[in-house]
Amino acid sequence: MTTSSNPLAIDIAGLEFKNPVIPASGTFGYGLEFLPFFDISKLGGFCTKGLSPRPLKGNPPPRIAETAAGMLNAIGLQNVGVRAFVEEKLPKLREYDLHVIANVFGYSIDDFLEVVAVLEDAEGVAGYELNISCPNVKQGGTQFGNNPAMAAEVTESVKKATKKPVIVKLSPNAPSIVEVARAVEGAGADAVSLVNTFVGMSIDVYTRKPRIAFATGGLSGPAIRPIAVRMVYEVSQAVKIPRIGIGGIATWMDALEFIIAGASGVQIGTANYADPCVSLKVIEGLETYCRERHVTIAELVGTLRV
Amino acid sequence: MFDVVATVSENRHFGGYGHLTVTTDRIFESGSGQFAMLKPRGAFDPLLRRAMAIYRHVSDGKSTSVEFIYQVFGRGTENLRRLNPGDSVECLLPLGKPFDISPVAVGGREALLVAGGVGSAALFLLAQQLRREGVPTRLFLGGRSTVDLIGLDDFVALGIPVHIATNDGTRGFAGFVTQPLEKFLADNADDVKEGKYVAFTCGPTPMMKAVAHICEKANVLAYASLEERMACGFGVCVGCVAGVRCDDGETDFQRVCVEGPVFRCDQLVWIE
Repeated sequence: MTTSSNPLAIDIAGLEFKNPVIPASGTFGYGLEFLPFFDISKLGGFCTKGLSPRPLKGNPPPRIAETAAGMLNAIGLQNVGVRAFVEEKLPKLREYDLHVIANVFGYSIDDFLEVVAVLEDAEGVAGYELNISCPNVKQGGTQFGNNPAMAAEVTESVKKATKKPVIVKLSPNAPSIVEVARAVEGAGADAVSLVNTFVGMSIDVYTRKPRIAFATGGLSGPAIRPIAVRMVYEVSQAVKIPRIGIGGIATWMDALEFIIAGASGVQIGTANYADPCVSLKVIEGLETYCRERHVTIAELVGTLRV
Repeated sequence: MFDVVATVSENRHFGGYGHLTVTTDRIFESGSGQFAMLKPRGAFDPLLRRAMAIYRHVSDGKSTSVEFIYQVFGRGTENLRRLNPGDSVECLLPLGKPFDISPVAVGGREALLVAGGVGSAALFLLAQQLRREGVPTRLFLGGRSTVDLIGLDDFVALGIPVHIATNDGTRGFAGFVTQPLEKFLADNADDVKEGKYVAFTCGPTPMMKAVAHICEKANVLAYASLEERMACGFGVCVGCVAGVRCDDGETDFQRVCVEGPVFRCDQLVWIE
């Protein structure tokens, strides 16, 4: 498909996407859960739930709490483990025409390498997204994501283990997200995706207990969008590798804000819960915008007028 | 499971509750114990839908009406309360696994339904189903006061015996619903020993926990329909888990929306 016939086509990290819309890790399961709602081949791609070397049970409930224009979650990366993903989910996903981005999680660099090694032997994974920014596990998440040197180290190690594109998912909780972005670019990352959730807290005033068992949780949803757009803009000024914008996207206009700020792709997260078909609606809205204005998504990336 | 925009045909209010009826052209079945995720069409605040047990389901071949009884608790349910006939509601349904009635649908057995407050809304389809299958059924229904005896008239109309308890003593036994249940099990100790009864409960967690404890002591098989905060309702957010004891003795977290909402009480690990 040429760009002229499809104004949404975009190249990110060496992969051609038919559109820039990619449901975010942890909000789209293993993709197959959305088949009752729509044909997932209409998506540019999607990010799997974070995959660890072995299955993880996750945190005790309650795990979520709705807050103003968003929600807190501390799921604790409950997942089937990378081997079950390869055996049970991936064969079915191969029947669909979209880029499957495996979100990789580990407590150590060796864990990241183990997950990637298992996926390298399988067919159907287009690239990796390194989850160095989960705030909801006691170890392993933000210890990489908040530290530029460690973020670079895990990126470099994974890059040596694969020829596939490596996207690094950045934490907004880092002292400087721009420094982490620069560090992973230097370490060979093919793209960055940002932002993961913001560490937050909500309290039940009657019990005086935190509203989620883990006490703190990751804040997502429209509440974080303006901060996420600002961070994408700042990182776009600082690195040359493509950015994928994430943070409270619920409409095509939200998605365009990130693209204009400098993102080549967008991830949709929390909105999938409220409307399982939201990604399709965003794609349709982007297409209408592009056709009416005779412009392509690729031409719009980073065109903020300041 | 599908996502449909349904039209409000009725939304009655009483006490702190609402009784919402929505209608759609879509023809489908709802199993007892299944639920829906609801929000007014286009609503962005609150962001997420609210999980509601399907109270009643009526299909006439041309359209389907589904009823919900909800307690007005926060902003999400307040938005539902404000719905008027003709308004549109986003409905994701039917969700979750239905009740398994096979253990009680055996000659000579009897179903004991134990409900607290709005929890009875999750048991009415079950009561209908059990009546249809000819399974003897009785209901233990508790609430803070008479107004909290949700669905009482509908259960009575089914022709099943109802044991009532109110905390303030305005109707039936004065106290918790677990007390008439315990008394019934004690009065029918021989039948209990022979495995005549299977219990199904829905209500506040402390009540269900107490019912589970009573049934465990009496060696009565019991099922609980759990309520847990949900973001999606169809399994992807993994936010609504319950602790479930596995065969190896370990506790796993299972999704209330997909593996539940009905669980065997003897497999549940109650988490405060």
